[in-house]
Amino acid sequence: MDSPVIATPLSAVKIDTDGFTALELGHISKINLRGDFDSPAVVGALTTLLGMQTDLAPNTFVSNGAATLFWLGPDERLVYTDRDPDAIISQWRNHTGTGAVDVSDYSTVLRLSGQKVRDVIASGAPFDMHPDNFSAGQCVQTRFGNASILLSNHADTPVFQLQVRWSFAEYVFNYIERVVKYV
Amino acid sequence: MFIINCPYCGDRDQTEFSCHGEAHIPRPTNTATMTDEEWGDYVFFRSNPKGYHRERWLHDHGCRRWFNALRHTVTDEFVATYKVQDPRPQIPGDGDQS
Repeated sequence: MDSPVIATPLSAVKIDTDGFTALELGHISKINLRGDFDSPAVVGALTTLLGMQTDLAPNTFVSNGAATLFWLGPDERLVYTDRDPDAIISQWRNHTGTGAVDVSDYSTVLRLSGQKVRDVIASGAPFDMHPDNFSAGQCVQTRFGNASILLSNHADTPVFQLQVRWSFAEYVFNYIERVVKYV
Repeated sequence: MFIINCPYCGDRDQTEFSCHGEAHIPRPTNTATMTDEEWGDYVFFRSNPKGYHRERWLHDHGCRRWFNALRHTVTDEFVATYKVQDPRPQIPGDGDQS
């Protein structure tokens, strides 16, 4: 049997213009974690499973190379990981008794970089993109056009990652492609 | 356009939110014995004031959490936003904290 062709609506396209590049990152395993992030069980599980601290301020993320932890809500975090998500999920449930869901295929991630990135995002998102308001290490769940996105700032060069639902990925890409001509 | 303060995320644009009507309507506990009229009151009837109004809001495009807001229905002034479990903020000019 032939191996399945792994292709996405965005895997063959990218934007590479003066001051702006956008391309889709490959598959990233994502896990949605729920729980009381002040409780000892959850703190212990995060430290053991991911080597992470839990005292994450709202709208920020941390990365330790192997995993990235995003704040999504007071009792909700999102993890990007290189490791087998099933193992982390079952151990999380055993340790904490709270929810963990594999959301790897809910959404895709675009990498945006270049001087125009802040202007491009600002054209579709109501969030203030000024460096004083959105610096490296911050993430924000907001709106881009009509799509809900999770935007994270990985470097003030700038390098952003934009996570969006699969069903909205093409829409967001097309939006960016048009806007980039005008900013 | 105005800015709404999400109790979890901070100040955000109004287009990230949606309003879902009057807050602090407890679900009845005697559902087995309620009359149709009582059910009608619970399900359909709202206070609809001209003035300050406590209402439920959802941060759809952000943290997706529910919270409550005290808003003036004529001026659209947001007096306060507060978490569901927090004490209710006082209505301006009203000594009675109902």
